[in-house]
Amino acid sequence: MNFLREHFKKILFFLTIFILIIMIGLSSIGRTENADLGFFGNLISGFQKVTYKTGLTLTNSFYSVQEIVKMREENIMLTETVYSLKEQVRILENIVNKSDVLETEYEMKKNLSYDYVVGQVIALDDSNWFSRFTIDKGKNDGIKQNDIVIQAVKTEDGIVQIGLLGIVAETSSNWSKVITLLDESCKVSFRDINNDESGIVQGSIDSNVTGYFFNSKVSADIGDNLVTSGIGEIYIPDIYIGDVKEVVKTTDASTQRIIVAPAVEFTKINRVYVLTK
Amino acid sequence: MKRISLMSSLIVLFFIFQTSFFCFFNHFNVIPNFSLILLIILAMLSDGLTGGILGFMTGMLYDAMIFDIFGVYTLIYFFIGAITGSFSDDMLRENYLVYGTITGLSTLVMHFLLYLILFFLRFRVQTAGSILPGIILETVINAVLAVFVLKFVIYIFDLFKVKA
Repeated sequence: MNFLREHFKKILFFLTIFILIIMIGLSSIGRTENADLGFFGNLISGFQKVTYKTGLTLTNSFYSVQEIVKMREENIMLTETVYSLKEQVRILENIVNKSDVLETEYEMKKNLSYDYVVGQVIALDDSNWFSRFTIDKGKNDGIKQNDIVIQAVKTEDGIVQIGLLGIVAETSSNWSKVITLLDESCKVSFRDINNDESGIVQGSIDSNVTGYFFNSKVSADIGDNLVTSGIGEIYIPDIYIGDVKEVVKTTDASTQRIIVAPAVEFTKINRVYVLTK
Repeated sequence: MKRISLMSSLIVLFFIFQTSFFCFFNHFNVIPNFSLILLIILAMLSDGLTGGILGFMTGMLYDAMIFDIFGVYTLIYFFIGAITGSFSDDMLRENYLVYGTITGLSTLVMHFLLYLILFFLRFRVQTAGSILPGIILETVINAVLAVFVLKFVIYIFDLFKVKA
């Protein structure tokens, strides 16, 4: 009894550490749920929403003053790009319209729509090791674990996707945690639309998105567009991931690793679209 | 009771600002860890038990609100808070340099523990070398900022008439 009283703090310290290690083990294999802070969590997420918006407004106004000079040049460049893209679309539509099969597929993909929830980012963990963020929508808004999160813009014709952001890892009543494409624990099966081959891309601790093809004989070219393949039934197919930035031969030289430039700029995320399937 | 309530409120406040405000100031891809700096200062101004409780609270906020595996941040912050608090009696609490040094050391310990835990969780930690310059820069920034956070904490304690 005296021993317990004398070493109470040490016992408590080691017991807590032991319990936490067990909790990490169980939680990592999905045997236990993460702590739900309930009302307190909702309160914190409410405050986070306000501070995030304030920070975003402050930085945006700072950069907008800084970038006024650049905007004119950018405007000219964008106008030229729009003309060039319009021409490309005309050529492609001309080709598509000549084939019934292609036209049917084009109409099918054009009209493909998903139910979605618009969320606002309220917190970021952009630390060295992880890349995650929290949004202000949760179970009450119909968001579930493994829902896809994309960046998109709303136009008169509907939602136009910019690119894949990540996946919902966990939901609470009024907020959800999202693992981004840059995070080590995010794996996505992709399809290279230039050669129609599939593979896997994965984030990493150094925030590089790298991947490989299932077929080791396949080679990719720099600039190839990658979209989700839909294999594994977690990611909806044809969500734009990004372009091939670099092709690296692996040490055994029989396979090659691709380094991907994601379509989305992860440092400037604000409004996100959660596809609720 | 007033002291621990004030400390807990500061922990929550710093957590909110760390995750939703300071993330916009990531110049050189480094964000100072204000939650850790605050934890070190509060632990040094108290004892091992209080440091442990505050560390547990800080880590739990991160695990519950950001991270998907429960316990990773809770374990790290609890360990750092409890150890710092336990040795705080042996340190010169009047010397600002001590706060800076302990904060810098704790930043390194935090990243080392994260490395270890992620290794056992089968993360591909081989690429961790590339984030080392960022960690070193964060360590230096945290150590410098510790002095300012300490001044802020003392000001808040005085404001609420709580003994530092």
